[in-house]
Amino acid sequence: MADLNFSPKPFVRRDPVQTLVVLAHVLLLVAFLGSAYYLYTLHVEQREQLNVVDQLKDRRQSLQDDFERVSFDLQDLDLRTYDREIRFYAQIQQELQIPWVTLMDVLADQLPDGVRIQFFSSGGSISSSGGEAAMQILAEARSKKDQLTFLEALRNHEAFHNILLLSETYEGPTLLFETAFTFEPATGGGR
Amino acid sequence: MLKTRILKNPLWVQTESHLYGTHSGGWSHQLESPGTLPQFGELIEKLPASAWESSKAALFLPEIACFPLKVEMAHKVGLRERENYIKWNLKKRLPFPSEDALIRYLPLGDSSTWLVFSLPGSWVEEAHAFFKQKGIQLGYIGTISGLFLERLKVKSSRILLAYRHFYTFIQREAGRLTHFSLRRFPEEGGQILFPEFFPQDFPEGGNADPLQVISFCSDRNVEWSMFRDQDVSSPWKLMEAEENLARFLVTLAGRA
Repeated sequence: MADLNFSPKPFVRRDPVQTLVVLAHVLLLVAFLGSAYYLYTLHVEQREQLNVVDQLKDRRQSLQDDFERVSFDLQDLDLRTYDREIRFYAQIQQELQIPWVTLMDVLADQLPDGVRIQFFSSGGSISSSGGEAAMQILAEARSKKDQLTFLEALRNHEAFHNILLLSETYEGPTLLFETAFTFEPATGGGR
Repeated sequence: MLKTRILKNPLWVQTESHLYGTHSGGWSHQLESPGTLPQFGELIEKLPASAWESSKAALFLPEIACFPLKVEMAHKVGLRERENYIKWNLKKRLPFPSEDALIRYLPLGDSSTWLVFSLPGSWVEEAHAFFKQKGIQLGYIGTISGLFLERLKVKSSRILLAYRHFYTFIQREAGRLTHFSLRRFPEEGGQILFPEFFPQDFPEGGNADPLQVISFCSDRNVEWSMFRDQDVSSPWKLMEAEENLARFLVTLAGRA
């Protein structure tokens, strides 16, 4: 379009197309700013959500650590309980393996008339090497002579070893004494 | 037709003999030296106060005051050299020094011919400074035909701007200016000789689009109306009254 205006300071010419272009640019700028603000709010919201997620992850890790620790403690506790039960049942089993009838018969043969057994206990098991059982008895003797006779009889019997006099107590005319020994059923228990 | 913001401002319209203003109430002033550029400093006391009350104004000069000339481009001239080339071409054709000339131009037909309007730069600066001193932005200085060629959307491709003694004929095709002429009317006894006038300048006759005539001389409106009434079968179709820029301007000026 020709410019036939001689004015040194012409009126501002507002071309409709140019106005539309400017308006479109303004709208685009507004849309861009709106989008930028929306993205910024999204970014802030995402960052907050990520913080929440991180906190949840930390919380989960903490709970997982606690769970593992508790599980380990429970496992350890369970194992200890199990070991204790195993040992208890093994002891019962070992005790059941002691030939009580033979032991009582052999021991009765060694008792003089002035000695009687008040309490009898085993050491818990027969040794795996020699098949011996540690025994302990609490007995009452009418005299020192009867006590010694009994101990001598044990010492002379091939089924009894390691005979020890643990204690002795005089109570009036009677003598209480404790003695320990090991019993080997295979050597003399068979009578 | 008048969809330009320029016409929303008060207009100063000069014809061969008068200066019209479309300010509130309108005014007109008969020039003492017809055909010359107005000297506004001399008009301060002669014009009504309303002429100086606006903050913006547009000045329309008659085409003859802008010396419309055709310049043939013998060879293709670049944009930077074009103005100097045109001024050099106008050196002996303008009544004032071409070095002082402000020129505006547009292609006429093909690009080898250019239609050039010229005004003395000193007069433009002086007029602009005068209005600026009055607090008025003289935002448009040009011609009615320039306004048509530059901005106005006109249905017809053929427009005749009729002043009292001369006329300007504009013809456009596909938005390009193809013909521009500035001539005196063939007259006899002060009346336009229409039979001689039309065939002489517009050989296209009935095959052409209707001619739209805009009369800037109210005295001639009767002649143009009579012509329209008498020559009903004529291929020339005058503009309807409501489309007549002259009447529009005159109405605004309060002279209807």
